[in-house]
Amino acid sequence: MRHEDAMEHLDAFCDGELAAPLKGEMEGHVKECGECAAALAERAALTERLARLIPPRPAEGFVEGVLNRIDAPRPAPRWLVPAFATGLAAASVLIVFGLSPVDSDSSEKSADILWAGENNGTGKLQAIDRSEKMSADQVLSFLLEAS
Amino acid sequence: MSDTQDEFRLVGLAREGDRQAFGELVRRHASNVRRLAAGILGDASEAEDAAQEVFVKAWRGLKGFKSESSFSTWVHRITVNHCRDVLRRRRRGGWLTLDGLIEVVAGRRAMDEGKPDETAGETDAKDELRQVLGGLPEDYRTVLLLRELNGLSYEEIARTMRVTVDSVKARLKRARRAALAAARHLEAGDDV
Repeated sequence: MRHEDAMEHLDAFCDGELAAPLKGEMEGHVKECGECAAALAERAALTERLARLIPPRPAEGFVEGVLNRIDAPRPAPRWLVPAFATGLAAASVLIVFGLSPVDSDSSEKSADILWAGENNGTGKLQAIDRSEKMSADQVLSFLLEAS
Repeated sequence: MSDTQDEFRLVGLAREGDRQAFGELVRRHASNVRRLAAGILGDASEAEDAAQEVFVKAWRGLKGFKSESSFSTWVHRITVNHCRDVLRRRRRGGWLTLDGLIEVVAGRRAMDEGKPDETAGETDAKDELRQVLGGLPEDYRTVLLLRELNGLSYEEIARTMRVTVDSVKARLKRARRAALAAARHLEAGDDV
């Protein structure tokens, strides 16, 4: 077998997808050709690397987790999820910092604490218009600053 | 009874609502589904949740499963589609999960305090995985993972992804070439 042809069939050979007589010809060629042998070894190393990076995990509790989910009520329609998640995220931030979202007396104070924003080097938190939404990045930078 | 016949029997029982039979199917395929999800999503912890969701979808869709393909191929297909949805949502929303947030904050704190981060090993693996597979288009990555990790044949990959065998071969060739180049680059960097 010519080297160029062997290189063409290398992937299929490596994947066990070659049938006889091509398979036999490839086996013979690889024994003689250092370049093809090295290419095969490199492919095997990639397979090992992926297997190491994504190892199989023991199935402890996995099956039970699936069966529990099956019993759980079906999730809300998709359009409701973002709205619910936004509310949940806002509530989480408020709960973490012991704030009440319905306390009208402290609304100004809440606004001050809710927004990390640009600190202008002063290290102080600043308020913004409360109607402005916080992005995920803003929530993250707020929590990092607060921590 | 062969494995195929046994699986066919389990699918039949599960379709009639037998949870124990379905649990056995989950047990048999959990590892492949989780690994594929981890590879496509690039995140093992996210994959756990995705894999469970895949099996919930399979349970709910069992009535529509015609046994034209094997249960394995069908579940792989659900996994690929579900992971695509997760990636789409991730791209569209820039979502940050609460777990992700806590992980980032905890990691940053540990760094600030000079303590070793307990998740460092996992993060290293995640970074390495991202470097090897991150540059690949999603379809190519999926083909490579189905072959390299889950050991599917070209024919099975073609059925899973609803493409031709020739297309599988072409994608696999390009995906391998890119992943091998990335791995070589990574090793050259490690040596420096």
